[in-house]
Amino acid sequence: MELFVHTPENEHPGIVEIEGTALVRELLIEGKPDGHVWLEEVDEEINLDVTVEAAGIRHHHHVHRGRCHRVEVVVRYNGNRYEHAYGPATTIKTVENWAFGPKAADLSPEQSAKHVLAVPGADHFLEDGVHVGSLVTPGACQAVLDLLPRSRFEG
Amino acid sequence: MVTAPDERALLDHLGGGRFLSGAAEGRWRLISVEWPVALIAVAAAQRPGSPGEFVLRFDLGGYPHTAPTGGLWDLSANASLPAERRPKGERTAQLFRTDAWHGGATAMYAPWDRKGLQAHADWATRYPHEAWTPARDLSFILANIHEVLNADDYLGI
Repeated sequence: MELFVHTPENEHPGIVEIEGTALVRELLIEGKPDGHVWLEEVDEEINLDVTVEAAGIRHHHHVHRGRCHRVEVVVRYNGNRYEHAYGPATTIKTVENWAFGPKAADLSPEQSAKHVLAVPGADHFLEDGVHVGSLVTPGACQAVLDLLPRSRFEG
Repeated sequence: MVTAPDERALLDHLGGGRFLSGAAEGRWRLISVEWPVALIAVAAAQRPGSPGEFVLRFDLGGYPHTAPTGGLWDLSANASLPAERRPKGERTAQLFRTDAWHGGATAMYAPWDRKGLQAHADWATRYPHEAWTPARDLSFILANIHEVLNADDYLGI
């Protein structure tokens, strides 16, 4: 089967081919035995010593490989900082639901449609499917994000 | 036959995790590549009387150093999609304008589109989060189109 594997090194997944009978451990990088694996949007890490099939991983599932068990997400908006801890395989779509909602920036539905998250200094906005574990700063389990207005192209 | 560097770059990107994960999730689907043209359908949110996807015809000559340009396409007529069948909504209608701007019916009014950039010299610096650069790939554009066609302000056709 083919899996989409997200890592701390890249916002976008790579493709890995693996047999359903292989151990989850085979998704780790050789020589880096301290890594862990999560299914997308699931906080609990997968037991590395069960088979891919037994772990409930199926063709074209998204998994996350990394070392951070929790990622402290900091969202900056209008001079305020909002913090929430997530599992590393949590998607930006889930983070946006919290960041735009009443427990953080408290945007109306109309405002939410016109805002987006971005890594400070990045040249792009974050896409829905990016894992927060792919945004951690080197040596830390934290991701700082800015809540920004979408552009309206004019000229 | 030797594949030109621009076509090879596109094929590499179409075989990468970013494009294939979007395809696996039904966000977009590749219809054809007949260099330098690629036809790709992008899924749209359900709206009454409206299609579930729109086809984009991209001209990718010089990719990725030259920005792609693309517009809505009618597969059955093999022509640009007529104005009455184009997606409506605040941002959608702006992206796929039907008036006679520089790009006409064949380009997007956005800084990721070659003609959009050519018509607006300041867009590359004014909209750095959306402007095309050679470091991007076609999935960047597809993700932006998909976002617009699935936002609350997309109204259907």
